[in-house]
Amino acid sequence: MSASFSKVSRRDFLKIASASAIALAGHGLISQFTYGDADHDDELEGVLWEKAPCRFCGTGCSALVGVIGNDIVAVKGDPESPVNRGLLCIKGYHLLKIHSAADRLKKPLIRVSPKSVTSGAKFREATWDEALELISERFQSALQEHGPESIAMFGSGQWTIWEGYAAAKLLKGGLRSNNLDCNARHCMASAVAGFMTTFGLDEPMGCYDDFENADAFILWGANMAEMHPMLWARVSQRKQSAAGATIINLTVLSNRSSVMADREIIFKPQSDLAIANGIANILVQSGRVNSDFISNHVVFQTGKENIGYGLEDNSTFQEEASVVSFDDFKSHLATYTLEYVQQISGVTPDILSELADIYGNPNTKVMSLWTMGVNQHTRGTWMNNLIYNLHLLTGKISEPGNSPFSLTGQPSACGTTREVGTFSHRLPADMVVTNAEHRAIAEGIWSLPAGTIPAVPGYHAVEMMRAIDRGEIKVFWSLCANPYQDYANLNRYRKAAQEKDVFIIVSDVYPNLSSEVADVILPTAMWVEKEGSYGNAERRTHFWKKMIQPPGESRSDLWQIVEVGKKLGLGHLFQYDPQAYPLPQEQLISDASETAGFYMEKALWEEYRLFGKDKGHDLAPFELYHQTRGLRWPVVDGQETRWRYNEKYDPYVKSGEGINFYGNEANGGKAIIWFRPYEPPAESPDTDYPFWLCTGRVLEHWHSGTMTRRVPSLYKAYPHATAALHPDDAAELALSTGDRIRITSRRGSVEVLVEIGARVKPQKGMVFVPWFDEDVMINEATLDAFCPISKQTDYKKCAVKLEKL
Amino acid sequence: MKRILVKEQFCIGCRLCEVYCRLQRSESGELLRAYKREASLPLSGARVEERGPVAISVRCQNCEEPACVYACLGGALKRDADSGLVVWEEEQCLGCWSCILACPYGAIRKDTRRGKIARCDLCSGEEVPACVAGCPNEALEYIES
Repeated sequence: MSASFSKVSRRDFLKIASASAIALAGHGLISQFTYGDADHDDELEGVLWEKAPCRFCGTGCSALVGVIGNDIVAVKGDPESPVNRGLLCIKGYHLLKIHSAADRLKKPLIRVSPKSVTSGAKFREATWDEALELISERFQSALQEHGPESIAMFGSGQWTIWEGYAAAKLLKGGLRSNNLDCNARHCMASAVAGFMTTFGLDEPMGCYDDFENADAFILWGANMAEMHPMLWARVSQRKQSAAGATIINLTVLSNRSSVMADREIIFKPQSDLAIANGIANILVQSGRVNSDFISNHVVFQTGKENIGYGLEDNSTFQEEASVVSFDDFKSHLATYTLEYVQQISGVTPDILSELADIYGNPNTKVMSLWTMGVNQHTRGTWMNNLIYNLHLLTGKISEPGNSPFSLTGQPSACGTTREVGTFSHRLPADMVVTNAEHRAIAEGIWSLPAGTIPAVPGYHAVEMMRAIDRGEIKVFWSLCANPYQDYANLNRYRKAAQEKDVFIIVSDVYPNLSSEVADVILPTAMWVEKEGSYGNAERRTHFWKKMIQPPGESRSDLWQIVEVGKKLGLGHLFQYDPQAYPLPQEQLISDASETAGFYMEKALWEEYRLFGKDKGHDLAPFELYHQTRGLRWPVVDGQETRWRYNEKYDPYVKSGEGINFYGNEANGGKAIIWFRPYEPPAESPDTDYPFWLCTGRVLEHWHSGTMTRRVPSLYKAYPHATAALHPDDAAELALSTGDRIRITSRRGSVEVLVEIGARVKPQKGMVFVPWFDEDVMINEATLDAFCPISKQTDYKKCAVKLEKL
Repeated sequence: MKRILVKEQFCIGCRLCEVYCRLQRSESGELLRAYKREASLPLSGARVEERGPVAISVRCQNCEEPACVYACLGGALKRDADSGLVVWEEEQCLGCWSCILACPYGAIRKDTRRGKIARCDLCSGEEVPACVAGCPNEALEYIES
């Protein structure tokens, strides 16, 4: 190493020179935490290294966690991981410190202050038994007096797979209530609805191997450089490789992904619908489509139009699908001329043609990538459909590099919420509660009497909060989520929490804006304090072992769900044969297994596996996931599947079929190309509220910031949310960086400091505010309009006014 | 390749290396004007660490196995095959701060104003780097190694 060059031994040099690194490492034992490097292992005596997927975004990076005794002393990228190949992003490296902030919740707490008090509310410590008894009493009285519709659970895409599975079993199979929804509704519901309506099966057909095979990357509302940095590194490597690659960043604001892009295309909010249709129109008009693929693997449909925005309570949606011919489809698209698209979106004809050239060139392998810009959209399902249309028209799908790829927000939005089905309408393995056959399968696996699972979907996330406001929900349990900071139109829902007769239970790691409205707070064990399992965006299921004991009396969500079940007389749902599932040897035993006396996680896994077996959702036996860096389902005969629907890679496609979209069995395995028109946003700027408000995340912070803002270096790197503005707007309002403004919508207002020329540069007429900061409650201004099909909230578009303070 | 040798026995922690570095990167090249008038004066690529009587001027060591290059997500940091030096392309920098965490010397800094990193480039183009030229105690030496 070059340290010898400086005539100071490396060890001595580090002692004096890397005070900052030591401060980051916390325990002072390890002066750096970077990718695996055998050269440094001499400094790490006595450290036990175990793998675990990162608990932040949906990329699914694997970290190596170094433990001495009951302390995590280091975290480094896992060189054996095919996802992140030894690297981590700045949040990943700081996994080290997320569990150990001073105000960690360690005992159950019961509210003492009246419900009207939020900030500074008093709670008293309680025993687990007292807290569980109180929760059980409240559940029972709600069930007896108001029925199963009066209870609700709100879970998370950060739950482990078995936590989501246990929650679904308890609510739907035990308490006979479908009122189980999760924060993935705000995150990936439009992606799910897009997959289901187009392919009949959820989750991407491709995988991350597409990054090394694509010639062009088209970003549709995804700031990957900040939100999926490790995947962006793979895009960057591809671009800089001999093969090269084109990157197009379609966005409503200039962001860090534009830095590496060959072209940044700024469009007007909501007009992505018109752009996608415009590209499709050019392709069909100029005949640059794959006719063989279309005639063999695709059908065309139209659906209901003018579908509303879900702004009224209890709004419903019923699709009105009709099969149409390719010619009908073409004539629908004909409206989307170059001029019309430019008028709606601001994108000029030459740029639109350039996009069509990329999709239409049969020799260019195209990967389309999207996240919240497309999903958090009042026409989110439609936008997902429209991106698939471009790949289906050109046959660019289900093969290496040709990949419409829906990026995921949360670490197990796929593995837990989507695959297990912790949504109010879903059951495991893409089944739904409205289908009698599906309910019968679930009741069979769960050994329940026929008719146990209700046939009507429960409240979806937004409607759940509205039902609390209407007084219909009497017990609300939130786990691994922060709904009272995360919901749009927050004032209505926080007010309801304080004023309505609802008993709120919050299970969390740290006090937050949700725990301050709770009646009972349950302290939760996190990440490697329990045994876990996540499923990432490329269908990769990945496990980790428990590595340290949780602090104080905190318990995993799995333990909490099972114990509440037991108190409610539903312990049999979680009783498995100790002979078949003996406790594991030579590893720490999780709280759930220890209390049960058998290997609870394995028992739940093996039961859960029955749902997807032979249905395209096959999962491997339990042990295999501890031995590998994850496997991509369907896992058939121990082999993972990289590209689905293609006979070369997918065991479900028979030899000679080529491509088979077997999720759509009813139409003979064909994908559906939907005609979906442009429809305007729910709320647009006007003379009273002249600005667009767009919200989002930043690189350094995860979601509502409850963990990352407690890590000193991440807090220091980005302490507070600021409002980013276009310089022309700032000049017009005489605003400069550091000025305080009030952002007001029809629903609420928030004060925030202005930052001009920040890393996000909005288009003229738009203000961008990230939502991680509990001191800048931007969701008091946002609008709870949602996609009527997916019920996913649009956090990206509403109208506000700005005042200088 | 030529690199900067740091002789900690002569370093008195005066921080003039930091001052000369920033001056070298300033628009005006004049000390008072640079510090008083230039709102966007770039950060220094050198940084003085002190503990008790021991002080040392820290900067990029141009490691043969550069952790920062391996950690760089955007491909902005590279090891130049000819010179062996670690080079940085500003336009490629995403500001993801991964290299800052990876560097064992703490030699890379965060320039939050620019959303980029700041690091020593050995005053590329100069015969002798500014910090070496300005060090009053000859604690820094620019030599072939």
